[in-house]
Amino acid sequence: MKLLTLISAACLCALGVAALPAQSTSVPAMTSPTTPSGLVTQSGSYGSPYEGWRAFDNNDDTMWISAAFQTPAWIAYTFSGGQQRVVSYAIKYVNGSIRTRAPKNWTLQGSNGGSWTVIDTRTNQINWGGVEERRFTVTYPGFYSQYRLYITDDNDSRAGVVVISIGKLSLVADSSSWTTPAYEPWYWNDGSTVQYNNNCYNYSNNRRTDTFAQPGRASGAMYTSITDSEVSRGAISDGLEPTTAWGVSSSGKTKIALVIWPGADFHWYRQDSDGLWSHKPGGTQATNVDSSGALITNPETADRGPYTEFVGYFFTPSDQVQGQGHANIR
Amino acid sequence: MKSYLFLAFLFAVSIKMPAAPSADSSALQVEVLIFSGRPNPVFTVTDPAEIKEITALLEGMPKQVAPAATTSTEQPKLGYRGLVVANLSSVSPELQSLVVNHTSIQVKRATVPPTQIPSIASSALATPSAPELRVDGSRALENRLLTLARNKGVIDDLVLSHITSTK
Repeated sequence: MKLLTLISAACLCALGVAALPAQSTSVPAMTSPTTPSGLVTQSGSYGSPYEGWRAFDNNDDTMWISAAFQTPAWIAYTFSGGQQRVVSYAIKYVNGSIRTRAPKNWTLQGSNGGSWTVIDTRTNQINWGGVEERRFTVTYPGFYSQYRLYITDDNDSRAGVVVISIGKLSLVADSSSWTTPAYEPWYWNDGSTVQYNNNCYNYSNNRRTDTFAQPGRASGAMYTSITDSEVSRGAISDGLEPTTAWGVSSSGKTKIALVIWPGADFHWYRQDSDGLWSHKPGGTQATNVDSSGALITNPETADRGPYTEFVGYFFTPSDQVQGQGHANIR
Repeated sequence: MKSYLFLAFLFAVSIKMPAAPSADSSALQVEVLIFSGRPNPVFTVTDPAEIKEITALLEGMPKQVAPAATTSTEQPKLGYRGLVVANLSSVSPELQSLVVNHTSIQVKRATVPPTQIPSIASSALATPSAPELRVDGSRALENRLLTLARNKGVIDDLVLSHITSTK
């Protein structure tokens, strides 16, 4: 499979890798740098038939070939669905009799839009077969939305990168860390920075950004009007997954709900680990009661003041630690 | 439906995140506490004569005798929750901030001018205020500030109509 792949627990078992709890995230085969999802970038390519996304197109007959004599040579993938915790990765070399183009020294790096963090380092990877896949365990896994294979030397005897060729780059993400948070309002209700700078979108995604996060802003697709479709579009662009009132996430994602005050504002609720719902109206305190003071058992029927339109439910990748959600919001 | 579409159009062509106003040493900064997802509407009053009228209006209101114990914390509910005014002007410099909610006005006085912090609400609501309450039976101050907000375009008729319905 020539694809940046998130391999399921079942696949991992088949490959003899330590079993991980079940998860359902998958990355489809790329048909361009941006479709069907995410973004593939690279330091350069040997020509249009060898662009970076070819290493992710699920086709063993194609490959990424870097620009010649360009050090470092790197290839990167940005997840559209927010952060992922990559725990292992595999590089497949498929350039046949030309062995010098296999990577020799590299780091795997992660980023959330700022600087890059080295999460794995490999040196002196030599003696590649003409078609060979090597798998590596990430030394310092973390939650990142962008991953980059940063290659500083190939197997050519000349110094630096002459040309790199990679047929397939696979990432294995452990999404077993998705956990629904408990209702612990004291984290958010500090009467200071956290409370005043984090809104309903921050709270529902359980992610503190101190930016009064807006749907779609982090992914460059912010809503342009306060309508069901526009705010939903922004949230989906941030990686949230639409679901139903009865939907259950097989990977343990948290269910949140969107409501609209048409033409004026939006609001989000989240379902906590006890099954009840809570929310944080703007810069006010987080609470688990509605505008009538009743516990929120169903956001569709709760007293929502002017937020009269119930839009729907979404899944978000969260963490049990307050403020440490993993959705790509800003 | 047509009015909603028109409002949506206006929103689409004008939508901006209203950043907190920059520090203006000659202004009242007013935040309408109303939104959840979007930042609250914020505006400034810079005309000294108008600032004097507003502060005079406040000082003319009766103090609540022996006010009950109260908290300045903004209540977590959806929709209109009042207004917060930060006084950064040289008019009545001891007057630091107001929290206006219908007929109740909480007044915080300071001996030094306040410094600007990112949210007006955070400056007025973050710490317990002095136990000075004023009673605005006719809601004259609230109405004046809301009229200013509407005239300055930071709230539209849709939002104003919601606020009016909560009174």
